[in-house]
Amino acid sequence: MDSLLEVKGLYKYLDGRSVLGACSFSLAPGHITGLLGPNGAGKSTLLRTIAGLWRPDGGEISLHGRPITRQDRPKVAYMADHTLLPRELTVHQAIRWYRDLFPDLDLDRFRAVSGNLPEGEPVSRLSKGQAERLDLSLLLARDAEVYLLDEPLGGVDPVERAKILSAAAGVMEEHNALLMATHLVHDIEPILDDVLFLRAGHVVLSASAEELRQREGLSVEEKYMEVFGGGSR
Amino acid sequence: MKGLWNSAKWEIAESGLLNGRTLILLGLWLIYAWKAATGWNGSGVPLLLSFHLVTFAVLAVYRGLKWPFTGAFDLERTSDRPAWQSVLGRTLAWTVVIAVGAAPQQVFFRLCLDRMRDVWLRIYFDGAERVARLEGWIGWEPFLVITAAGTAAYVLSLAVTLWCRSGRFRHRATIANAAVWLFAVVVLGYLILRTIPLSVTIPACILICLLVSTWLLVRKVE
Repeated sequence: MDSLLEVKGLYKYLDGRSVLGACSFSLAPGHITGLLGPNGAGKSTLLRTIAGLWRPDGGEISLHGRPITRQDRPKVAYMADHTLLPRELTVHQAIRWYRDLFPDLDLDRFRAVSGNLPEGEPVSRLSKGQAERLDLSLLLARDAEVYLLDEPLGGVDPVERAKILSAAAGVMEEHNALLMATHLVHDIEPILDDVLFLRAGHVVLSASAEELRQREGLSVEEKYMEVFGGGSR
Repeated sequence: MKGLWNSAKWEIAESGLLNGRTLILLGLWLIYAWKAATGWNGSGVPLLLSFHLVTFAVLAVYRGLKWPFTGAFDLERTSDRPAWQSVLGRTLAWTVVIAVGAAPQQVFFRLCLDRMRDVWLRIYFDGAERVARLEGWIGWEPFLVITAAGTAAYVLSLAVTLWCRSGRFRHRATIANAAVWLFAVVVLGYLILRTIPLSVTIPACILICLLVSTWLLVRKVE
């Protein structure tokens, strides 16, 4: 299968220290990939670099086999681990602000995921769960090809978490891909097609979740514990 | 061009200038300044009458320092809006705001000039100089110079902040770093360029800072 997004030999240095070292992997269309690894593994740096927020120090990131240009950037939708929306604006204004930036936003799809958000409240006064729901609804309502989600499940209750995962799975079509960084391996395992294990900026495993289960007889969580925890659960 | 308009529109909304409470404060100060312009004679009156201008100029510099550190800045970088539209849209917005702040100052100075001339010449030994200074602030030329100087202050703060955010240690940069660098650039610029007329330095500062900001945004920050 042709890859949608391909990362080849990606390097990133911060403070003279290598944060990403020769990262190479690809995302297949129609697949949800879990970006898994311990704290400080470089997950957020990798997502920020793919989104175009940080310039890579080496390597290539390509979409449909071509380097990502400025015009291609909206095809890669990025959600950070904290809200990037202007905190001074009300929720209603923030939605309009986002729509001005990304005119492909589908408001019906947004309403379907967002549920009841207090639209008159400033973004700064939203709870962590509400802010994440707002961010995720806006992100998934875009007509992007690649969705990058950085810790979308942190700080939300199990019910909210289930809703987020269901919304993420619901947006997937044949032509797009989703890369989600998280620590909560157990929670995202049911929706994962592929996994990407990152340790100290290096990809230590890139495999299909189903293949792991069949070939090694391990769940993704068990494999995660084996690779990062020093043994199987 | 839509990006230009959207950048300007949302910059003003994000600055908080259009909030109800801010508008009430600015409106009340307008009434207060009107009262001062038509009845008071103290030497501090001109500063009091410049409140809107000073407030808007300080806010513009603060926004120039703050914007590159906001999440909104990051999110905008993931869109296809060209860097020049982001920079120019914001600059035009602050030019308009500063012009709006300079307009009441002009009106109030005109209102109080005759009375000040009458009173200051009698009560101050340097009354004539004071009146001449006040007169020097009135008219189209001073209005344009003040507006352009405010715009220059904004683009300078933006250029310095983007420069801080584009170096090797960009991920460590903070608003405080940028503010210190801005202060250093202003002091150094004053020492080096003070002999050059403002009619040259202000337009040159605006043009250079606009180009530098756009270049930094395209080549270094993104």
